[in-house]
Amino acid sequence: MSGRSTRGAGAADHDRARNLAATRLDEALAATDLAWLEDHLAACADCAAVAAEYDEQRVSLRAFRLDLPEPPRDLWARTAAALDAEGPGRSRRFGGWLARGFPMAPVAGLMVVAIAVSVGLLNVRSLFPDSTIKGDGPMPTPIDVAATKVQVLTRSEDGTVQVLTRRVDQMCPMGVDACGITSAFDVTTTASISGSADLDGIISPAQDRMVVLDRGGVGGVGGVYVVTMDAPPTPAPTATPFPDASGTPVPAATPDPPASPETVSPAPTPDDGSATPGPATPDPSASATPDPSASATTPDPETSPTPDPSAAATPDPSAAATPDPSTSPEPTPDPTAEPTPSIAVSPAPDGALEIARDVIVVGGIAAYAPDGSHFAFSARPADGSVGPDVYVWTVGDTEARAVTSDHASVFAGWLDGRLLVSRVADGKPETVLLDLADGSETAVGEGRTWRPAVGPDGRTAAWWDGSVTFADGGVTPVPDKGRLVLAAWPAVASDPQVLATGPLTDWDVQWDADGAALGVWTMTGKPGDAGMLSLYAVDPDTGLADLERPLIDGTSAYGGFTLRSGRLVWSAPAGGGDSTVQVAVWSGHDVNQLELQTEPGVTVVR
Amino acid sequence: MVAEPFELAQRRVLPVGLTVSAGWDRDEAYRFVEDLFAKHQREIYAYLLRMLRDPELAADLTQDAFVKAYRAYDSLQKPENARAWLYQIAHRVALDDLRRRKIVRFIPLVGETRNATPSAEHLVMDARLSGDLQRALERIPERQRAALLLAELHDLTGLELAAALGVSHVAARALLTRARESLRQALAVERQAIADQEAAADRRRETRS
Repeated sequence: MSGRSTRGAGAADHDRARNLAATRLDEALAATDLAWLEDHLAACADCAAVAAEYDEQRVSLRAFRLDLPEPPRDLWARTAAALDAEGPGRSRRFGGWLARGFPMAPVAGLMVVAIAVSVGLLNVRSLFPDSTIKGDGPMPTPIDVAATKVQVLTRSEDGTVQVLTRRVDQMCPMGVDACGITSAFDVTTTASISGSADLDGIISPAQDRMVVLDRGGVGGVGGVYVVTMDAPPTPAPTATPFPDASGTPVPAATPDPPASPETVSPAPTPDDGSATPGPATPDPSASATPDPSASATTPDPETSPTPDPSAAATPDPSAAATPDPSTSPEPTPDPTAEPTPSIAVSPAPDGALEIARDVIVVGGIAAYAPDGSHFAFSARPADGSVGPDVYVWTVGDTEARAVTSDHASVFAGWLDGRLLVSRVADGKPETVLLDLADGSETAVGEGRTWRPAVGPDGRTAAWWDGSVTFADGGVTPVPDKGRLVLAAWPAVASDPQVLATGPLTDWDVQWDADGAALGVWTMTGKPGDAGMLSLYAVDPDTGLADLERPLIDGTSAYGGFTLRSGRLVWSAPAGGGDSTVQVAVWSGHDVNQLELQTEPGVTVVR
Repeated sequence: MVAEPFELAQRRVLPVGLTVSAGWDRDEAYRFVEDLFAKHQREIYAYLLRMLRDPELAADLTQDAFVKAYRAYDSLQKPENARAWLYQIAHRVALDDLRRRKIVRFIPLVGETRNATPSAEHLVMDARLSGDLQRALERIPERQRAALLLAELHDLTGLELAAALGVSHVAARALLTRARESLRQALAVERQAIADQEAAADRRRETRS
């Protein structure tokens, strides 16, 4: 509330005043309320301004009262036919007012008034453009564009996770608000996943499965699931085998700290119908052998438990219990309190495979390998004891497995079949290429290279060039002082382009597959807030962005956008707590954008 | 004083279009709907068009609303309440469809048309002058938008509005109050977005020059 408000008036008074200012438009106020309101408005400039806006709003809306569009001429014929179809016994088909003569005189008068009003209100006639186009000639013709598919993820009221899919193959001409295109999302119910509505979805390259990251909402504790999708069958990618026990530690299946009753489920229960053997059960055979009856409900053999127990988690308590203190940015945790996230191995009865449970998914970067054989993400244990590690799920496995154990690593992307991992070592950020086949690591770039996003041609990359600090109680590395740069790769930050300067809470940089465009999202608020999204054309000769002429210049957007095949799709905040899904299509420097209205709280499937 | 709930037997009407009573007279219902159509088809079509912004869809749903009215004929206890009753049916039809189908609208990115002709620019400007209100309306929650449209454009009174929305009079009034505030905030967002876009366009023009 502004300082110009009435002296001594509290927030409740201002709320009451605004409430009454709105209510008085709809009904007469009691005399005492009216007197109080007038006194308050006389002394409170802010509330008076709000009241004036309500009044103006009413005038603007009421200007359209007589702007009644004409229904189609055959509407009664269609309706009568539908009524006849309701049951036998109707003998007066197409009779009624058409036969008797529709009482046109009042309507004709109304139309005259409407025309007069529309002439007098030139600037408001496009409030409902579809209703006025008829009188102005033919509706603008949509422009065909190369088809693309827009998918968003939402949770229905009954808790099932749904994917809404919309094919976009037409746009309206520039400067036209509507051109008669309507849309229907195809709704695909994928699985029933308990948890929050704070979801991310990442589709596999073959589009036959989706990884759902439950970010846990306010509490942050969620899980990671794999659900099958309806898609043409494709050959299963060949998964690179993980290193054995001599390689990267596999802390996933170690016993948990005390967990929720749901987690501590060493044996199948009648309720869930599935075995939940992993997290709370140190028995490796139980961890790797889910209930066959549960797998029978999961027809996709690739997401069913692997028949090879060795490919699944083999608990390695020794590895888990001996964290390397030199790599931990925090005071060394008690090694007996296993810090790694618990990992579920239970295919849910409805086909969702929970590959990580009771974790806090860290950062916005999670991705399938280009060949679809693995999926990588960053997570930390829900108890907040330590920071994040990088986890990889291999297609066919029943659980994700940690491939780092320093508790200060985050996944940055895939590059040439290897993982780009950024971590904090000795207080400084560094990035390595991790080879899944043998667990070897190769340092890339100079120091201070954090979370690089390498272009498709490998010549340039965007990364955080600066220091890193720790959030979430000192366990999660986040950017501190520095800048987000675009420069030659491997990371040499000489003469870089500066995409954004710190402090930033989070960012996401994505390249279009052909390297011709670069999407940059930055955020300075708290997790879940909207940030700013820009889109730049990339010079094919230099691999650098045209920062002077952004295709989209800092539009409000939530995290988790997708840039693919010349289409940028993101979720944007809307009034009233809603969000919308935005799609941008460009040709040269001309950009068209369309807005898909969806349920509140959807996220774009990447 | 809290008003009594509207006299429509809402629980009989909702969900619309279900079982009819044994004494249901089809001819009577048909004549009733026929008359209802003659009187109200245009405003019902306008309401659905304003909610959905698609002429064809609005026509389909107008037809659907009258068919549901036919099925639910015996739930209308007082003919004088027929208009609000019909709006209630149309409102439910609209919300049902909005859940299933999502509406597309297209927004030109102001200032991104490099080779725009003066007439095209004028068209954009013309649309923007009123487009902020239009977009703001579309950004507020559907029930709030419906409440505003019904109250301000379709002139439903308090009790009629409550009946059409399928809520109590008090709840309808509260919804309308929230809608006014949501629209005010959404308008502010829209106008700020336009100002930001214009400022960005100015910066780019300055950079190029």
